[in-house]
Amino acid sequence: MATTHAPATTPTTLELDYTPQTAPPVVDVDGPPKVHYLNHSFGWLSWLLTVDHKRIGILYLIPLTIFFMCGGIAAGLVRLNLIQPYGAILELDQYNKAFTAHGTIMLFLFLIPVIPGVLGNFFVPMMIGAKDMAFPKLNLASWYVWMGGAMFFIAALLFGGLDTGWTFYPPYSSKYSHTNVIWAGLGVFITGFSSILTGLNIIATVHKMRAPGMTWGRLPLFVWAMYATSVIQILATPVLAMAVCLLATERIFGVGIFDPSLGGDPLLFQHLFWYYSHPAVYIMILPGMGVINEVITCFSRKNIFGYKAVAWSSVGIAVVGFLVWGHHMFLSGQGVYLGMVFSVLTMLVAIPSAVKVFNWTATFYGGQITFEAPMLFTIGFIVLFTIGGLTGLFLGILGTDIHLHDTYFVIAHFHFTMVGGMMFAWQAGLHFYWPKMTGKMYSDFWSRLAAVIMLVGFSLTFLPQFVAGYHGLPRRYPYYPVEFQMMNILSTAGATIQGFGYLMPAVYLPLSLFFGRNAGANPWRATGLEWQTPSPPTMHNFEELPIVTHGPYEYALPSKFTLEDGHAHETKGGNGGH
Amino acid sequence: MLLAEGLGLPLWPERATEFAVRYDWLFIYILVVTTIAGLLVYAGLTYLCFRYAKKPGGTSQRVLGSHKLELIWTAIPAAFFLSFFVGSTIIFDEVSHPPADAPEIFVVGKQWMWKIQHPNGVREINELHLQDGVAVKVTITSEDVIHNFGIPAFRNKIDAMPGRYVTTWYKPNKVGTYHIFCDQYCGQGHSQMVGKVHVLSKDDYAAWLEGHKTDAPGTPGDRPTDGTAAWHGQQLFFKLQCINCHNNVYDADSVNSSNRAPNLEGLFGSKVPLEGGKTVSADGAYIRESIRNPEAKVHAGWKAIMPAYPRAQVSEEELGQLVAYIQYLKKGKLPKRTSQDAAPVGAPTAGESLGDKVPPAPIPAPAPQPDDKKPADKKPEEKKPAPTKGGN
Amino acid sequence: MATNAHAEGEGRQPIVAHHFNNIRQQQASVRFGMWVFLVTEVLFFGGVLCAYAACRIWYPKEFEAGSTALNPFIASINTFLLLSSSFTITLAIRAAYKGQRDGLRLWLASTIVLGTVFLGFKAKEYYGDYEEGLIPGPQKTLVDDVDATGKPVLREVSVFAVNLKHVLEHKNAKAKAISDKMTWNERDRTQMFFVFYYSITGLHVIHMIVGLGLLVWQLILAQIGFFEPTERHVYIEVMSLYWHFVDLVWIFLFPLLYMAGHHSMDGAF
Repeated sequence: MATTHAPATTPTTLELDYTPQTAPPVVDVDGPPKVHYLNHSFGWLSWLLTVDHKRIGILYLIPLTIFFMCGGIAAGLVRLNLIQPYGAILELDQYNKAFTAHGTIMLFLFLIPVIPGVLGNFFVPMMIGAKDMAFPKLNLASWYVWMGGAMFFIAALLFGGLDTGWTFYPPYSSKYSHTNVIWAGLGVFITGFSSILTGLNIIATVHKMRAPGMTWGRLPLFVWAMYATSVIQILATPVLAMAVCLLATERIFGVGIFDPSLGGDPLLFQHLFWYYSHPAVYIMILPGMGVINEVITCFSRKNIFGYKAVAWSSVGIAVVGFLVWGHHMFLSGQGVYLGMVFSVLTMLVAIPSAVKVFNWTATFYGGQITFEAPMLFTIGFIVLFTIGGLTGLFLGILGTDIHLHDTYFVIAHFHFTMVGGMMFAWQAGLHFYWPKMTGKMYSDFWSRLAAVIMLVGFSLTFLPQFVAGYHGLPRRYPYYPVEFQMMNILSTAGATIQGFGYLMPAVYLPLSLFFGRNAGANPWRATGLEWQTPSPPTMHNFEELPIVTHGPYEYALPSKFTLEDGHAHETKGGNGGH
Repeated sequence: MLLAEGLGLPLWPERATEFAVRYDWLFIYILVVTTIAGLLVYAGLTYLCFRYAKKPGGTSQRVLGSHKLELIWTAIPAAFFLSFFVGSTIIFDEVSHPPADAPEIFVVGKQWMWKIQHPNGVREINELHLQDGVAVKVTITSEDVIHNFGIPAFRNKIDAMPGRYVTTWYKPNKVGTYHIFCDQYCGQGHSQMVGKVHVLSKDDYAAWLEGHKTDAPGTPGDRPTDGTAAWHGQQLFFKLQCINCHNNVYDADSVNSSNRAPNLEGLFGSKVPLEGGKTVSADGAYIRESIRNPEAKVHAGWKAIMPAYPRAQVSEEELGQLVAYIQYLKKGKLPKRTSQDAAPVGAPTAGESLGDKVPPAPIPAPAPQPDDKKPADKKPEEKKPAPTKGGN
Repeated sequence: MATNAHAEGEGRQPIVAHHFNNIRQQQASVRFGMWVFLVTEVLFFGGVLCAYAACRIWYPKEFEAGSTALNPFIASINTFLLLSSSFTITLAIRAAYKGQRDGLRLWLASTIVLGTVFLGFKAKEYYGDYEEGLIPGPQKTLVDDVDATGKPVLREVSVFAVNLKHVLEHKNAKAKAISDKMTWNERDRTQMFFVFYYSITGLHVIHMIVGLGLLVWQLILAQIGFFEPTERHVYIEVMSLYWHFVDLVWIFLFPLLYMAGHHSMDGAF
């Protein structure tokens, strides 16, 4: 099978019917294949030296889960400390290290790599009908680079800590902080390279590895989103690497590039930093948006509403996202006119996000909607991301940002997009693809319950923070005026509930490996190419080179044949009547 | 928000300036629009979820999209976003342009306190007293890392950047005491870098001022001899030997002469010609830059020989005082180079501080100086006469 | 990088890797991957050059002085060497394309030699800078100076500033003229130029070393006949893309670092 060749015609010359009359066959085979990617070889080395994109996806999944827990523990410490106005458990500098650890771990070691690393690696090749990434060895190298950087980072946090906040603003970070800025910076630098290499790989894969008939107009929207993400990764990350380099140089040699008392300018760092870090929030959210497209179409048995609008809005966000970094610096004296330009561009980048939300909502129209766990997470995503996006407007324009800048309003907004958005999307994706990745089905009841608990806990945590922020409570405050105590207690209560919510998948998903029933090749009766293979997939994904004849999400077409496998998920079929 | 009241916070955060009211209107406008938008999305989502929930034997419709709808829900948000942008830019413009005649308060952030200096010389730490109904201009900088001077009740906030001077202004209109927060993370004591702003009625303010004029005999006003910022600035003008060159005495043979540097009388607010035909307006920013980095904009016709005064030599606070002095320095206000009104605080002894080597001028006798080092009442008289020929 | 991922293995290995459908897809992927990588690299150097530009606009005089203190002679030789190596690696592609094993080895080896000599000169230049003491750092010393009124004072300045003054004064008349016009503050601040000089050339040297490592690896592969199937000339080709890029960076660095003095931006802003 290893040398299957394409038919004589090249993909671009295939004449294919773009408006198919029948849906693609829904394959459903009971039980996993005898030999699949998980059991074709055993032993540590077979994993550590693997070049199989699916195994690399799993390699990412495990440390990412651990890092998420580390970041979560730091968040727990921060929230617990805030139940009293003068700090319940931590000293001042311990608090500063805790919130820095939370921010840096969650951003650099979890949110940025999580969906590209796990779902991107696993499913981008499968969705476009490829046997692997374009550069499998580079893919593995990228994992090692990432692990190396992460180790630097964790070591810096464990031995001495870091107290600069995730933003590393000089001159505090370059001169006044006595913590491990250089080591942590090295960690950021190295993990950044992993991010670049993953992005490079995905771009090359999407460009060159598509199966015959898989035109750009037929790509699943997850692939579009991953493509847009990768473009940002390769264009923005090197600039951050450079900024961190210069910061380290300044710290070592005591020469001022950013320190004004030595002739530099701290705004220069902020420009370089946000040139990366604003697009970086799109690196974090775009893959999540991609997952939402897959889930929402599958569980409403519908085409996506406005495929082109959704695809181009991803690209639009990626492009315009590069031009809005200055809205983090409205109050730093960068100039009113510059601020106005950044402000209007920020309004511009908000439009594609709004378009996405409207299109997702409209996708429900005329569907046959079911509410399994992935769908519940997706609805949670839409609910929370709407709030996150709308509150972003307050911060993206000059006037209202004056008062809200650096308050809990920002914290709440950011978490509504990153946790309410990205974390829910990640859970949706994980629950959606878990049966494909492992071949096992998890508990329906517990997974739905987890979705509800996370939604409730999350809202209780972060809604009060909008109020506290509007009343002026600044971020990164271990001590705060006493009138804010109730808000903080509510937040901490919500965080506790959220914590339980996150622990639940950590229990029932692993348990499903041992006790779950076999999922079958296509438990959700989804249409994507990745579901046309057995679960777990075989080594080379596809025994024959697939030929694509229609766009994604053709759920509403009468299928050639349907299978009722007699299991509990029979209600999931979109068109049982045919 | 009702919920908030029961939870320790007032229904709506305190508003103590007219700007805060206008800010809140903008905020409420955006809040209403976004809330309606959000509720519409939620309503649609809920309706569709119930209406199109899976029915046995039901089929889904193949709806691919609608260009008309896409256009509508691109254009409508865009229009609203544009209105947000316009409204907010007007607000931001207001906050960035202080009224021209407002007195200037100078705020310096350092780890971890706010040092505040009023134009009448009163200095405070972590406290700011303002008079109800009087607009003040506030110039903010930092001595070390980046801070942010925020007063939620004024809906105002601005970064204190080391090496930069940013300006904002307040016109409080409600008597009361409000929080000052540092909003930009600045290290261990970040959350303790807080203070209070007291807005006092006219009488209370006067009373407060009375209690703070210990080093300021006379009335705050035109003269730089009454403990004002300008008075401190004059002391520095001698101590740092600025006057050795920036004087009004031309003597081709002496180094202590205006043949080396321009006379600064009447400089403030004038147009300074630069090399190459450009001009620059001599405002506070220009003067600060010229002290920190004299070569940046050199007055046409003069050589760039002035040494730079980094923060180690002139603190941000002192810089503010020098600016205040130069602002005071109208035509004819410059004292004699060799006159010493009072020994500047911390200055070397008189002989050293004005040590003239080249012309063997007599060591300036601190003749009219009373014994105490504080500015005495007689100083104003001395200064009033127009500058005559200096000591050289 | 892409080269590294695929250039492994003996001649026995199938020319088309398991996950590609045909040789054209494979070649296109490898080329495309390298171009994307180079885009990243452009942004990488772009970031630091942005910072360089900002600082040079602020301090044109310091940058002029720093540039004058460097050794443009060695740099000129290095430019010549590097451009020649770009030519030899292009000949290597041709040899690989035509299946000339000896030619391939010759041209790869020439490229390696030219690159190594470049690094050797660069090391000599660094050593010269080190001997002259042009290393930024926090060490301070006291010097005699006069204040604005001509009164002698002792002034604390960085060791670097003293060394810079010495180097400029003993270089040539023009350098001495530049040095004489500088204040001690400016001499101190010239460290900024040297931070950029060391970090940018250092990054460039790291890129050279990586490139040389890959070239040596390809030379070994050429020796064992990996490139006998001429389809594999694509690996030499992407290697050359990388090498040309490293060249191109140098073409930018040379005027920015060594010729900053002759075209000072004084008055341009």
